[in-house]
Amino acid sequence: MESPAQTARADTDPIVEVRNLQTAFYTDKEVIRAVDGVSFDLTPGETVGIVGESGSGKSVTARSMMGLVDNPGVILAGSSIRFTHLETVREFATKFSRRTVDVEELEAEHDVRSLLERPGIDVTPAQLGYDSVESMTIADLLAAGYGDQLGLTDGDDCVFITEQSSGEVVDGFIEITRLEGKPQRAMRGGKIAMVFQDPLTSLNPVYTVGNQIKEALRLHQDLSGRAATKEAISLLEAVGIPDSRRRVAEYPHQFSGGMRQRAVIAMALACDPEVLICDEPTTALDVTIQAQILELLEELQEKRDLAIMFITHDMGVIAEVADRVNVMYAGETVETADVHTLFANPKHPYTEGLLQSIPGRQEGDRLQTIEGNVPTPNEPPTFCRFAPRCPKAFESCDSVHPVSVPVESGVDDHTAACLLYPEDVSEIDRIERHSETQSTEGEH
Amino acid sequence: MSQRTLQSEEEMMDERDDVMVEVSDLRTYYDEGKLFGGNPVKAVDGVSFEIKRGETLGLVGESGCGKTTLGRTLVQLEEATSGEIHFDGTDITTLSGPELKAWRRDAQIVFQDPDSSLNDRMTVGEIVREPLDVHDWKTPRERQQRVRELLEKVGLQREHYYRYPHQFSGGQRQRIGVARTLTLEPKFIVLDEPVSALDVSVQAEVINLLEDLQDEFDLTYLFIAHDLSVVRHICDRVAVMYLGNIMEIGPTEELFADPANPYTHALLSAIPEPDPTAHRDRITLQGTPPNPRDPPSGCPFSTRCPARIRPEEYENLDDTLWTQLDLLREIVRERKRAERGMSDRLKSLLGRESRFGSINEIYDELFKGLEIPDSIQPVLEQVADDVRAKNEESALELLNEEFGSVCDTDIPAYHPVGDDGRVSLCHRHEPGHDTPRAVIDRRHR
Repeated sequence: MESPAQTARADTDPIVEVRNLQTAFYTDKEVIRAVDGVSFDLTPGETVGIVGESGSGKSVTARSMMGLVDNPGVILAGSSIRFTHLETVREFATKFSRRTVDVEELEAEHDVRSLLERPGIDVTPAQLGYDSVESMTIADLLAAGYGDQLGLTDGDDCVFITEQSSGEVVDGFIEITRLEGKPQRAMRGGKIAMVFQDPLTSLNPVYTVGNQIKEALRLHQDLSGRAATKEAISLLEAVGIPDSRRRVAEYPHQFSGGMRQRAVIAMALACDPEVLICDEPTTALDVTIQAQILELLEELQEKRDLAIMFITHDMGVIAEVADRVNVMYAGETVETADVHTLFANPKHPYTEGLLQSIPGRQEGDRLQTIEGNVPTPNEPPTFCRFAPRCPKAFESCDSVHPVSVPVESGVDDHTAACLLYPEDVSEIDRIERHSETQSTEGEH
Repeated sequence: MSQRTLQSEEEMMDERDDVMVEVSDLRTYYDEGKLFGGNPVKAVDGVSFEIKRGETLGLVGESGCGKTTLGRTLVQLEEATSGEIHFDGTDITTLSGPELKAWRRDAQIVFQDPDSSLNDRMTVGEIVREPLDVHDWKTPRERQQRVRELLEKVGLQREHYYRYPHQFSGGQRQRIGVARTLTLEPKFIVLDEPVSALDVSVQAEVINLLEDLQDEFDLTYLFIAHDLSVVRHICDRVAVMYLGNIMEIGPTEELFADPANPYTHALLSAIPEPDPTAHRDRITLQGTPPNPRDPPSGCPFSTRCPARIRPEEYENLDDTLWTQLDLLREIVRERKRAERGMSDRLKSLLGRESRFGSINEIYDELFKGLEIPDSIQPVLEQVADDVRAKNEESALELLNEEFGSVCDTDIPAYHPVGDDGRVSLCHRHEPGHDTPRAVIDRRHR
């Protein structure tokens, strides 16, 4: 899916960079680490698929990106979600100048090493997912949320400018985990929109569909009255609802399931977002309607150059929509690869099991299964969370927590978090490599 | 031809003993008890089929097509409006009272959602034991013993007797549901989407369990599902339902490999394949199934059919134009049904904009940039006039007359396709028409 270059930034540059995202829920009984160190990028015009069983943390990842994690859920320090769309950064820098930080200025005064050595700063580069102090910049430290402790930023700073030339912002990002209040509302819905699983629960039954689309238009684009109605009609038309003039004045219960999901998509697109997060948008629909919706999303992506994050547990849907796939298990990304590689050559035993349990992808009468259930990730990992169910588990799996590594040396875009990889390294070296990162993690 | 029919009839006679459930012209309507007749929901609208002893018959279709109602009618959870269900020779639709209760031991059902089909206030033991209590089976001690055995059989543990449903995962809860249906040693089980609410790996476990149990207890299954890959794995024969009718029924592999009915074609092509390299040409159906209160007068699938028979004089119209014409018909039909509120009527009386956009706008939306041949221009104008005059009825009639065909007027018959007793409901199987496959290939690929 090639798309024409829009800005000076290259097309392949990510628009959202998720680094080491950790979201935990604090309950009376335990701390549930629903998302535990997830990293990935979203690129315009590209779809990233996220698969996993229920309870693997897919939806919490999406909600963290939307700022929709409710109490008792907390996005932990060290997590970073950067929104790097240049025009948006410029817009936010002007609109919220009080919350904007000039990182170049700070860089001139401080360096990362000395900042990290300050007393009270309880973090290592490894914990944030970096190899060494040298590979970290001050921006990384600020994004991870340590700026406040260091006295470099205020609590509500969220726009970071890393490069300026003659007063013009050239590079920077908005840190989504630090958003609150007004900029939060401008981002949510305006720049990143979300489509939920069940269209009936995401539409309000007592307002007309048009009314609900107009609400988004009023909030984000200052449209109201007849102009808003007109825009709502053309949005419904764009998502393939015939006779939209009449439909706009109808209530959700007068729509069929597929139409409702189309209406929800129309709402999400109302403010022309850059990123669309789809949380199982077709799970509640029939296959023939699912086919219509998938087709629509593809069309819209091509037209608007959207970056889509698509969450599903259906491997068939993933194969169809995704360009890249992240496989999640118990809050962690266990394997990531482009879609063709993943299906042709799955590496992590969990991915293999998941693919094998689909009827029709295996020979013989009995279906392969993965014994057991997804565990609740309620403690920091010191072992492989998949080991109890893994057919290939060996001794070290119970004592070493695997990190994401390339499946083979030299292969960059296919990683797995498993002690069996990198494949071409001896077992002792492999375990050392995995436990090395862990021991530095565990120092503090 | 006639010889073959004769032969197959003879075979049928031999197989008669083997038929366990025989359904003929079954109808289940809802909402028909209105004082003035009313317009019932035709959930199941005349289906006939048989289920042989020991086989698994799959029942697939979109939601709202009546597959669950059919399953529930088979175990008499819904009352049939008309038609017969012969279960080992007895017509169960006529049973009542103690006879019905006695028969219910033979036919059980597993429900879709394991969360809502188990009572949270009862222990697992009580839940599974309840059918035994109801039918006063042996002594209480023996009942307990039997329940524990069954729990083990479905892959749970004997100790789980005193636990509550909320202590179990989705897959385990579905196992409890399966154990409950097995208590009275039924011969026939309706499985109503037993795995749709489960994750793939758990789904695989439950499917394996169901297959093991079928072998062990010699069970006959009616497997209702919308996931076609599961159906292909577990079923011997499949029935494809649409709007209360069976569109095609036959042996699984044959039906999947070479679907005869246009609806089966479309349904199969809509399944996303777990293989990114597979580039199958998908037939995306337009719109949604019609309202079962008001089904089309001809073939139930005629409003969305990708292989609908077109009148000869328009056979070579552009395909995109055809799609738009079908859409126009759909819109007019919708408008006819939609109620105009008082305010809408007032607005149009006063010449204000009402929510019913003018027909010009709709034409604009539908036909913009398309070349309209002279032959249909006057038709479209007449339709526009009728709609303007709020006379949707005659507009619809005109559209049907001009662009309709046998598909819209006559209910098709079941035609045998393939060698293994497969039948399909479609006018295209009649001599003089191209096969659905050929037409779909021509129009959509």
